Amino acid sequence: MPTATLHTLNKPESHAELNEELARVISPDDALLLLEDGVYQALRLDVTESKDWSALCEHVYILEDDLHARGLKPPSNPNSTVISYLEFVKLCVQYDKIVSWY
Amino acid sequence: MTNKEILIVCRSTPYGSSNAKEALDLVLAAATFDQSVTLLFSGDGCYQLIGKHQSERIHSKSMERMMSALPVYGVDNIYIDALSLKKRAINPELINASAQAIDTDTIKSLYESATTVLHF
Repeated sequence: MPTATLHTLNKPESHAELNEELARVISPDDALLLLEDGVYQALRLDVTESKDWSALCEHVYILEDDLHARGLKPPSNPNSTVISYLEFVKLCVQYDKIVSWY
Repeated sequence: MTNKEILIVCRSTPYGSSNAKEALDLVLAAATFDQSVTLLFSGDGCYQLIGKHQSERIHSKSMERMMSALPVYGVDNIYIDALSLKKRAINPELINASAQAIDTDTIKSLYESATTVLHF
């Protein structure tokens, strides 16, 4: 039985190869957490023509401290959820494994 | 001292590395010595000019607040690459009003007219 993975991503979209490799391996059951400079990618979640991981992943989480520190607002995309550090810890426990993209 | 036309290009995110802060330190130092400084934000540097930073949440000094000191130092030539904004799906309305969005041709002329170009 396949296991669900929590992917974390801490780079903006200019790191194109990172995004491509992530898109190649992510499954619909997996979750993606945007943190540090990765939160800038939340800007694209409301843009429909995206063809990378944002189209493949149904559970996108965004770390709220990193989002607000950078002057960003939560996206309106219904698949995305802004979470606290405490909820980050809960996700780490909930998923079978964690893959860090950096 | 011969006066230079210094073009400083900020290409890094505000808190991902120390590049953004070092660029700003150099801008303020150069301006103190009455050098002509032009500031261009392009690539990931565009993220420096978004919205209201609550940088205390990541225990960092606010880059946005440091930037607000620029007019005091006489640095008024602040530009941002319109194409970089578009590529990143950044709404221009989110961008700090002190920066003027410019196109590729204008950026090219900035590079041409500068005597020194520094990338951060």
